[in-house]
Amino acid sequence: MSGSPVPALGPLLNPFGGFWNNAEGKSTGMPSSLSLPGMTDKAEVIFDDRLVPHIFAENDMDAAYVQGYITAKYRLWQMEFTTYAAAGRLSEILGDRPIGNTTTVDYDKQQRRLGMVYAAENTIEGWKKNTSGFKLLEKYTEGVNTYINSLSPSEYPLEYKLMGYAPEEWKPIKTALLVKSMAMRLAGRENDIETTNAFDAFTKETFDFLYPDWNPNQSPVIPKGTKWDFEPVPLKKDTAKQTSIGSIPHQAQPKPNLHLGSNNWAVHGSRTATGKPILCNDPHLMLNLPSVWFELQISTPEYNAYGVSLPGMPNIIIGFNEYIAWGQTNTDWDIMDWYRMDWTDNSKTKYILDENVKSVEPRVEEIKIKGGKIVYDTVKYTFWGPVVHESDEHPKKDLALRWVAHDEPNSNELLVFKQLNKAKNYEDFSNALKDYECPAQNYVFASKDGDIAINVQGKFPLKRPGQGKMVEDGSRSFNNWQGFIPQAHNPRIKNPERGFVSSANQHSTDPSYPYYYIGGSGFEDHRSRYINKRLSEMGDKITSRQLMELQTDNGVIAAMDLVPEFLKYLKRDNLTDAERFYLNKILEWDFHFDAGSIAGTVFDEWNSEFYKGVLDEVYKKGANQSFLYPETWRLTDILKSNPLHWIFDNRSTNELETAEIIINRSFRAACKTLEERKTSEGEASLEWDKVKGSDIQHMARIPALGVFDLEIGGHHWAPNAMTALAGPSWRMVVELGNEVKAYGVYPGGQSGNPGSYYYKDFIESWRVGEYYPLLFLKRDNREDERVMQKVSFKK
Amino acid sequence: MNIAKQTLAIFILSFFLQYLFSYWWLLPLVAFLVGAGLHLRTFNSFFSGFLGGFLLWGLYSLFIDWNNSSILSSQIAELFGVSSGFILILITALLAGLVSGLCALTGTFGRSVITPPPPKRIKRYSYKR
Repeated sequence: MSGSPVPALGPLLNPFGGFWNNAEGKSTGMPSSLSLPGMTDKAEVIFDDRLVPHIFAENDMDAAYVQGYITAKYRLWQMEFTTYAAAGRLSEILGDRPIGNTTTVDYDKQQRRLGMVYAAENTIEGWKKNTSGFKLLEKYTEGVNTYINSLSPSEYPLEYKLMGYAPEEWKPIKTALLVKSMAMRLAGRENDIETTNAFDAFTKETFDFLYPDWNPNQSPVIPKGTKWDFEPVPLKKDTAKQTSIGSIPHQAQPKPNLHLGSNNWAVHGSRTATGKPILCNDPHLMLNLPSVWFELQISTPEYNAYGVSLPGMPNIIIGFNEYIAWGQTNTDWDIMDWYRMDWTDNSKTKYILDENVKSVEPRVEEIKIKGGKIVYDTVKYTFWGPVVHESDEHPKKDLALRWVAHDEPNSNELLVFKQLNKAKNYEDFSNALKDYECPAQNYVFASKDGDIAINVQGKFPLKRPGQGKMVEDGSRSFNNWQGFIPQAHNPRIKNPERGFVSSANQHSTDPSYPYYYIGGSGFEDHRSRYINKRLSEMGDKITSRQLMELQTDNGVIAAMDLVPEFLKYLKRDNLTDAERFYLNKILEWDFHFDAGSIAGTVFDEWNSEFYKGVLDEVYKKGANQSFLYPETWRLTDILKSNPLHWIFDNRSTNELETAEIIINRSFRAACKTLEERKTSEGEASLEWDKVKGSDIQHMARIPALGVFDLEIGGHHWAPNAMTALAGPSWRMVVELGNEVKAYGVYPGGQSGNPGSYYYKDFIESWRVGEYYPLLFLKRDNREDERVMQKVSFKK
Repeated sequence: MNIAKQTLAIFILSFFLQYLFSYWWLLPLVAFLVGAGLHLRTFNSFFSGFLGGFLLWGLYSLFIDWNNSSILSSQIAELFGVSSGFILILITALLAGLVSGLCALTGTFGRSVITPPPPKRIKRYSYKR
């Protein structure tokens, strides 16, 4: 094992240069003025008492430069670590050792195979073609490097000292890697292998029964019944005979956390107390320290915007300016497909494509390991993309990846956020977004003029119905995407009758949308149904406070649907005392997964037993392979419509089970498990927050620097989508009007330094559902009692 | 007196140099040079070397910790597996003291190679006549 993780004691304990040097006092750590080589004009950065920097620059170049410098000052290690991980370079920093349930070298190999660096390189090629946009990115880069070059080793962030390495030069490709890393998190989830195996295991009838494409009760982003105002592009039909792929023996690659998603909505002025729109957004991401977001304000003579940024990327990503507000949630369009390679022989250097023989383009990836060793891995690039799943045991089932994020983007993609930051109305907003490609998002919008809207925006493949849902035959180029959906045909909705727009990762449309786009991962839409229900019932004098309560609502509509059904069949005579205790909890329950709720735990356990009990055949067929499992809403529907369906029967028993039998059996099993835990660990151990176990870990998984066992409620199906490791990474509520009033909070702090007062000072407020009023300074009025320090930036 | 002189010399010189240049090895270097320069006897040299380092790193880290409300030391203590930030301050001070003391001792021993070793202090007995 190379690269010892324990640093030398002398340098580390040195109060003049070791970790003590990172123990800051309660201040910004900035001097009152800075003379920096990259400035073209002067600028002023005002820090408030939450360490949010308010940047007042005279032009876009200086704004980018200062943003780069300031972000580096507070988040350098995070910027570097994220991009090292995206590039598959963790072994360089950590040596060869286990992390999570893999090793650093295997993780790095996986990142290279998925084509992360390849994608970033293509991105830079595309971005370079936009000279003005690229100049701004280079200026941001220059700002970061000015900061890095000013550091002596005693001033390095703590993690460099603990892990024994130094920061390296920042480059535009690192920003591209950051974008690709977000793309992998949000647009890197599909179930093609799992679906292929399920399709192979069941008859078509059973498959369609268990895994229908559309939930009849869904509440899509674009309301049901909305008419489409365009002529769809015609698609070539497939006339060839379909050959079955069979099953895929490969283990699907590790997927991003299932619970990454978000909520956003905007309420029209006709339904708010102020008469002006209110916009809300809470993105759900992995919760780490340092936090994924960095709050700031940026102003030039052209615009004045506030919001959150991603360290490593210029501009404000989610936020508002004096005219509009915007936010994002993830969409579920399938933009990642797998193709089975038809090799000519076992050397795997040539493959068949449309009866022609093509050669693979090998790319040798060099994985450096701390301590000197280098590991080489050859990745084969094909017509489709890199071959990710490769095995000598099953050479006929090797899979290549076709992913939208691999393609060279439109060069205007670089300017999307800059233009969003400057937008003043819906037209500006739509124009700014039209070149945005990946990860595709539901962009919510509200303006001072009174408009609300959602634009579903991304680069979407043109597919035949059913295409890409499963692994496809890679020997026919006909199976490729037939191009991309014209951007003007992307779904959008503006000022709908119901008085609000909303999205919570559900399907963008109802089945009437003329293009096929699902076939990625399912996304049970309990959150969106619940949010839309609550917004519809909220009346006509809606306030920000009510919307904050909705963001932090722990209610789960799936429980509201299932519990009455369960209770219908539960036999209540002959219950033990323990069972009666748990039943009473359910009977008293308000269907909210609050922190102290024991009923939530009971339902979770009961539902889990019920699910396993009903789907025993699926589990059996799916053992030892990557397999698709039905969604809870489907089970609920079957239960309501046909409780005697054969699905409830457990084939391994002689008895013919019905839903009633399974429900009772699973209740008893759940009570048994819970009672065992209660006896050995006490009643408090059954409280939902302890069962869920929410943590906010340090990015390098150093336990001492993280926060564990947060007392917070939530559920991935509740608006407050808090789970063990992921949750609302930013909560924002913006009231448009003559004076914008905005509120926000995130679980962390502005400083990435664990030794700072500002490392995790927001967590407690966020935990209890409180919001900070955001300080939106005017260019001509920069005074406020919350101002902590003003720093002037000069040439 | 000599002990106080050496302690102070190490403390002040190291503080000055480390404040400007940070390097941890400046402390042992200064201790070695001062130890050689003042050429104290074995125990006194070690002890004052120890005290100089102990006080310098101990007091400075104490000051930093106070200014920081122990935010960082409590986390690093957990990282090291010790019970509190204060223990960490103690460890810092002890490490510095040990290294400094040993280097001062090395310095005075080294000096003894080129200069006669310092004499023991003559005890003056009062004669009773």
